[in-house]
This record gives sequence, structure tokens and C-alpha cells, in this order.
Amino acid sequence: MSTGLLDSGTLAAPKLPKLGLERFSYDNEIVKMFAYATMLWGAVGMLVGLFVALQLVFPALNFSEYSTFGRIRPLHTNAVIFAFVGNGIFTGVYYSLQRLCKARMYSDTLSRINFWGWQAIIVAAAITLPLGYTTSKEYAELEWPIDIAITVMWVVFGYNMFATILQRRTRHLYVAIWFYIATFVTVAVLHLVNSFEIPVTFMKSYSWYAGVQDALVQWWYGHNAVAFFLTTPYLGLMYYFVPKAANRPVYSYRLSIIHFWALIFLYIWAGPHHLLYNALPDWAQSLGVVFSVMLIAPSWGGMLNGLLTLRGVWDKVREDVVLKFMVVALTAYGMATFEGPLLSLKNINAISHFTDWTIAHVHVGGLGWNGMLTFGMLYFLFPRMWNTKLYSAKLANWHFWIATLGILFYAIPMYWAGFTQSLMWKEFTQEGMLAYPNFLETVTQLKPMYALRAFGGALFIGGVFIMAYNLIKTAQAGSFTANEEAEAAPLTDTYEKHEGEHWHRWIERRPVQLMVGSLVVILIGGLVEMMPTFLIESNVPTIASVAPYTSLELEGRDIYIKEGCNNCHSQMVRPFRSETERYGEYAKAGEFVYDHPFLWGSKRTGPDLLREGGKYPDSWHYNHMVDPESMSPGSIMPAYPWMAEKPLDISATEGKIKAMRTLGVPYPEGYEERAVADLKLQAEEIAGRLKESGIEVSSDTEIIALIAYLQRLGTDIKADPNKETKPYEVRPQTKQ
Amino acid sequence: MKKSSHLYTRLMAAAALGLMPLFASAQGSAPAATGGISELDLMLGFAMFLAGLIFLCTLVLLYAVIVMKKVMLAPQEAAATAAEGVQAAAKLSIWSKLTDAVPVEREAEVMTDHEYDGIRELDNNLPPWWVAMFYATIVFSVVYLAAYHVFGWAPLQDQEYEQEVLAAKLEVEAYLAAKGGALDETNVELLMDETALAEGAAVYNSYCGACHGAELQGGVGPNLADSYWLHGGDIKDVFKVIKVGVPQKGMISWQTQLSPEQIQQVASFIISKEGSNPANAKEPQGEEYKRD
Repeated sequence: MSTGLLDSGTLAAPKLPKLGLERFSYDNEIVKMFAYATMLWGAVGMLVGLFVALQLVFPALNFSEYSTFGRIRPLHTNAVIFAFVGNGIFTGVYYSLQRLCKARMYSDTLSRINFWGWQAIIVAAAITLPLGYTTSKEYAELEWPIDIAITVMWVVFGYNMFATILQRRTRHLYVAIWFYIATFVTVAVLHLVNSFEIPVTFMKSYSWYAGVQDALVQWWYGHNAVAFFLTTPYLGLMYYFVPKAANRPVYSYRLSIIHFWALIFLYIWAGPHHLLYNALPDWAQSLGVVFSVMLIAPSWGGMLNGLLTLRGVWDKVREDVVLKFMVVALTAYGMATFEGPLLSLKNINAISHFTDWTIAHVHVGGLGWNGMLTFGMLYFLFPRMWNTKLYSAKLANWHFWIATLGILFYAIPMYWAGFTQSLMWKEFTQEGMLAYPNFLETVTQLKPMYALRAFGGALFIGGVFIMAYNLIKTAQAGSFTANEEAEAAPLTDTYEKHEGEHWHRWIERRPVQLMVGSLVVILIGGLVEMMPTFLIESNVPTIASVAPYTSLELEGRDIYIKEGCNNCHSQMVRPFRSETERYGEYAKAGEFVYDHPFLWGSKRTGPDLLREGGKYPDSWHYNHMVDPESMSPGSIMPAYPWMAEKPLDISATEGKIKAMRTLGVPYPEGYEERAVADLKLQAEEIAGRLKESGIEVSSDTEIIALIAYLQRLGTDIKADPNKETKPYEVRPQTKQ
Repeated sequence: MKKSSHLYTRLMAAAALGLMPLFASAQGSAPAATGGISELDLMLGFAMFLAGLIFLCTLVLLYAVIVMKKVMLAPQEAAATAAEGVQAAAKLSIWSKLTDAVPVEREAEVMTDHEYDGIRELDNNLPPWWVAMFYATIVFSVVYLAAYHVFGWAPLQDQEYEQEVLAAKLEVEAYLAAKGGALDETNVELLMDETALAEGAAVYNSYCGACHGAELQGGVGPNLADSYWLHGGDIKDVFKVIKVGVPQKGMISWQTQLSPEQIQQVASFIISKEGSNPANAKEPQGEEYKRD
């Protein structure tokens, strides 16, 4: 351990380096900053998670416009993924990269910009999401100005990392760095492609893609956010911290090579498994299935290399809390990456999709793999950077057991809830009727499970607080080394490869080629899957009766997005008897061609809404939005009374129509000029109908627009061609 | 909760199925029992998951046992006689065959000259079972794609849906035929017995009260406690309105949610409440219907 020579001016002149060695220091300060941020945001993100979990048990917790489930759930997912794990990645990378390269980070300034910029983005997310600024695309909800900030910060991180690699004093790049590089390039590509959107106002944009294409791009992104934000960087961290903590050599070099390349190549293809039995071409779904299945081995390669590195020191695992956390992390990784491919089989997905099974699955990965590995890493780092012993091994052990128990209490009820609900959805009576025709019945059944899950989550969070206390105490007891001294020989200009060298050593000496290589490898899958849906028309058969939304419906749709309705309601009737009986005709790709963005959803806490239009009278929707329990006793949906008072913002209506036209929605020439007048016409009509039912509400309120949208949903496909067209309805402009 | 106990019996049955070949569902052979393809899929899904879980648990267990053995054997081994040593080696050989790993004691043989911040790398062989699994998933993938997209052995999702609906239709028809035909608006009769009316009241409270009022006094929907009816007051008329709805006025169709028997019960219950004079009754609508 170094004693921080650089910052203690009282010492005598530094001793001269040994012949040919250069002296430098590692920047521990930046690691410390990120480590504290990881703990802080971990606690915040998980507490928000606990809050949304409790909302499902006690709907009264949706007490204000800014705290409804639809707005807060994205805050939870964004906080744990990008704030907790994101800062975890930076902590681990900034610590390990310097040491693996035998070089200080290229630029301390860039490191600080990376840190403060990332925290600013998190704060921006925490402010804008509850305010209702969202794109609706899962894990990419942040609006376009923040998207740009993320891009800049990611480039800063990548530049700093790569410049450090180029200045390295070791010839070859360790496997951890391969994973860091692949992470950097892939996340950049994913973020750029999925965030392609057209800004309408300062905090509102529309996705460049529509319907099927948007879904495909979104889940290519969504799945690979898991792959390249939650998995590959953490595999890199695992490759550094597990052998370090165990003081054992990595089990198999050749396994690293194969599982690295196979993993990044195969992962990128697997996105469509989020859209099985959806309105996606069959071939794309099948590719999603098979590439997911082929992922088992490469994923397990990482688990094996981690676990088998512990050969010979299993007795140490009993005592060393760092290793304990890492072993559970690796086991959870193995379970989640085995379950993932299983969930990608169509017959299993038919059961699991839209249920809490998915929620259980992601939390085994999130709490088990990312959570436990982060904890292990922090317990490793603090005593080392503060030159002391961990404050309390006993507390750390408590944390370990509480967290493990918390995962079990979380996952088991969620599996049970998923099975139960799915079986209830699919059960028929002998007369051929749904056994549980009332969707709500299948939700209230789950309430005890939701309560247990919240308990499990609370345990896990309790552990985080114990850890924070323990680590802060550790820091207080020790003395921090901000700049850790090191020395190493610089690289010589020439390298002579020696006899019998493994062929892969070639690319390990060439970071640029390694980066380009991984870029090429990850581009293949995405291109093969996405290009055909853009270029070959037969993939999205058009439906003549599908027309663009009226201006009022479009505004209503934006309210649906703002309130995050898609967090609980799908708009995707799958081709199953149990779904067509319950909801109506199954979804067709051609129905969504004007949907920028698509709103298929991924979870049904409430019923599907694809065929909602015309099912209930306007008055039902009005009463249901203002007080869901008045129409559906026992409902756990938040109430939206303010919608009946808040005036609809029509300042951007014209711009929205223009933006949609730019994206290819065939609004007739000049429609934007009458859009507002048309909007008022349709709103008056709805307000008039409500008045007939004894409901007095101003026609310029948000609720009117939302009702207009809900009543339009899924009706085009069954539109009667002889029906009289209303003056405000939009007929698509026929192509010349 | 008769329905849900049925649910769990079925879950258990599915569990008992254990390992079934994945492609059985794709053959489109609906079982003669109940539920059609989707149910078979359900069972298969569960069975697959269970099989996977068992597989995983076995693996972890096996691993744990072997590791424990190694840990515990290590100190004894030194003291053990040559014969016992041979025995121990034999016991460990399954493990070493599975991983094809060089034992920890001889790992210098596979040590590379790589060193990164003190981390060394061994170059053990790939575990043969892992390689086999990788190949197996690749073979599975080729067969899978060929089955769906080259040879058409397995149905695409639209075909699968049609098969499922058809199978269910035949099954329901057979069931109703055996029962002597279905109850509908042409043959429905008014029920008077108390159990039927109580069932009807329960249905009313869960589905109808929100719009027609808890005491049938009316609300969003019309008053049902007076003798005025918009669409006729005969049991056959009331049955039909509940069954197909009056969508233009906001009354939804209930035939996918309520069985004909339930519609009969709730219609009978509503008629039984005629003239009950609830408080805050909505004004009468439609024509008066006189019962015989």
C-alpha cells in the first residue's frame, strides 16, 4: 500500500525511480466520488422502487399528479439502472482501468466532467420524469435535451477511457478492458439509434420510427441496455475484482476469449424476444428466440470463469464477505441468464409475458447480479482506498444475509403472482367462456403477493443502509489516499511476439482494432433484424381503413404518454383465444403505422387497451378517470381528478401536426391550420355527450382529449366504410 | 373459490408432466381433454421451466458437493495412504472429466505469462459439457428456424391461433350438445327460486351496480326497479339486452363475461326487483311493461 506521497509536501524529495521505471499515481479521488454517488443513488432508486411497490398495495399513495405510478415507475427504473449501476460502472472502471493500464486516467478534468455531468443528468431525470416529460420508451424515457447530454457525457467517458488505454504501460489489454470497450461502443450505438426523435418543443419529441419499427428498435435497445449496461461492464468488473479479492488466477483464458466474442455477437440479436406473439413478423420473432437460446453458453462462460477462479479458496468464501457477495452475484447471474433464454421460448413467453414473472426475472438479475456485485466491490474498495480495515465484518455479514433474504422475498411472490395471473387470464369454462372475465379479479388476487414483494424490497434496502453506515465508518477510521503512487516501465516502441503465442494476443495489443472489431460484431445482428422491416413492405402489411389521429386524439395520446399509462396498460392483443375473447381481434402490424412512438407496453397491471375504443360510453371513462373505484370497485388504478380541471395545452398542436407529417404521417395539406379548430369541434361534441349523461365538464380540459383518444383506440380496423365521416376526422392523403 | 382450486390442481398436474419434448406443442395435436392448444402450451411451459430449474439445481448441488468434498479432503489427503489417495482421485475424476480442468496443485502447467495488476491467467480447457451445451443450442437453433420457416412443420402465429380457436369451438360444441343445447334468448325462462335469485344478485352487484345503482335505482344507466323498459321487459328481452348490449347507448355486451346461466340469473333478479321503489330513483324511461 502506498501512503500518498504526492500530497504530503513535508516528506523529503521523492526517491528516484528505479532504472527505466516511470513514476505516476492513480486517481483515487474520482473513484471515491463515484463510490459515494453509487451508494446515494442506490438508496434513492431503491426507495423509489419501494414506493411504487407499495402503491400497488395502497393505491392511495398515488396522492398527487407528480407521484402517480405511471410517472414514478420510470423514475425507479432509470434511477437504479443509470444512477445506481451507472455510477457503479464508473466506480469500478475508474479504479480498475488505471491499474490494468498502469496509467493514471488521461485527464482529471474529463474525469470530473464525467462525474458532475452524469450526476446532473440524474438530477434532471429526477425532476423531469415526475413532471411528466417522457418519451414513453422504456429505459429511454428521458426527453431529447437530456438525451443529448447523455451522449456528450458518454463520449467524455469513452474519450477519457480510450486515451488512458492509449497511454498504457502494459502491452496487452486484460479481458476486463475488452468488456469496457465493447460496452462503450455498443451503448453509444444503442442510445443514438433509439433516441432518434424529432423535437416539437423544448421538452417534447416524437420517435422517428412508428409502430412495428419503433417496437423493434426500442426492444433492440431495451434488451441490449440489459446486455451492455447491466451485463458487459459488470462482467468486466467481475474479471477484475473476483481474482483480486480471491487472490487467484483467472480460470481460463481461452474461455474468456470465446465467451466475450460470442456474448457480444449473440446478445444484440435477442431483442425481439420481448415481442413474441406481438404484431412482429414471424421471422424476426424466431431470430429473437434462437439467439436467446444460443446465449446460454456464452453467458455461463462468464459465470464459470468467475466461480472456477475460486477453485482452491472456497474456504475463504466462508470468511471473506467480499467473496460471499461475489459468489451470490455470479450465481444470480447464472440463474438469470438461464431463465432469460427459457422465457424466450414462445410457449413459456405465452405465459410469462405481461405478468410479474418478468418483474421477478429482472430483479433476480438486478438485485442479485448488479446489486450484490456492486456491494462486494464497495466492500473491497473502501478498506483499500482508506488504508484501514472494514469497520465491522459483522455488519457486512448482516448485510449479506438480509440482502439474500430480501431477494428471495422479492422474487418468489413475484413468480407466484406471474403464474397465478397468467393462468387466470387463460382459464376457460366448459361453456367456452373466460373463467375470470373481469380483469380486476386477476389483479386483486395478487395483492398479498405485492405486499410480500414490498417486504422483500424493504429488506434489501435495509441492507444498503447498513452498508452505507459501515463504509462511512470505515472511511472515518482510515486515511484516504487521493493519489496512489505507482511505478512501471513505459512501453517500448517495438514488440517482439514470442514463440507459441496465442493468436488472440494480436488484437489484445491493438485497442483501436479491438474497438472496431467489437463494433462490427455488434452491428451485424441489429442491421439484419431492423433493415428488412424498414425496406421490405411486406413486413408491415398496410390496412386501408387505418387513418391518422385527429388533432384532439393526438393531444389525448400525448396525455396518455405524459401520465405513463403504458407502464400498466398494454396495447397489444396477442393471437390467443384467451385474449381475443377478452379484448377483441388480435393486433395487426398495419394498425400502428402512425404510432410515433408505439405504445404496446410490456406489463399488464391493468387490462389491455388496444380495442378500448367504443367499449364503454364517454361517461364511463370520465367517471373512471376521476375515480376508478366508482366504475371498478377494488381497482388499484390511480385517480386523475385534476384532468377534469386542467386545461389542455394546445400551444403546440400545430407544430405536432407538422412534425408528424415530417415523419410520414399523411395529414392533408394545410391540416395544421385547421387543427385547433377541429380539435375544439370534436371536444365540444364529447362534452355535449357527457352533459347528456349529467356530467358538466369544460370542453377544453385534458380529460376530454384523453377520452377522444381512448374512444379511437383500435377502432380503425373495424371501421364501417359506409359510415358518415365527421368533419374533424382525418382522411389520409392518397399518394399521387 | 372452486375455480382457483381447479387452477392449482392443474398447476400440480402440469408439474407432474415433467419433461416433455418441446416440439409436441408445435405438432398442432390438441389434446382431447379441455382447453385446446393453449393449455398444452401452458403445461409445457411450466414443465420446461421446472425441468430447467431441476437441471440448474442439480448442477449447483453437484458443484457444491464436489467442492465441499475437495475442501474437506484436502487436509486428509496428505495424511491418507496411497490406496485411499487413489480412491479419492477416482471419486474426483467425474468432476475433472466434466470440467477438463488441470487440478489446482498442478495449475502451473497451464499458467500463462499474462499478468495484469497482479492478476494471472490460467489457460484451462473449455469445460466439455459447456462446449456440448453451446453446440446443442446451435443445433437447436438451426432445427428451430428450419421447422418454422423452411419446412413449415410448426405453425406460425396466425395459423396457431386459428388451430386453437377451431379446437376450442369443436370442444365447446361437443360439450353443449352433450348437455342438450345452449341457453339463449329464444328459450330462456324466468327463474323464481331463491338460490338462483341470490346468484343473480351477486352478479348484479359485481357488474351492474356501478351504472344502474346498488338498489337498481339508476345512475349512468336507466332505472331497473320500475316497470318501464326501453327494450322490452320480458325475460327474453332483458336476457338479450344483457347478452348483446346496446352499444350506441353505452350498455356493453356481456356475453364474453357472463355465462348464459348467469345472464338468466341476473335478468331474473332484476325482474324480481320490479316495483321495489328504491330511494333516489331515476325517472322512468321507455314503455310500461305489464306482467301477466
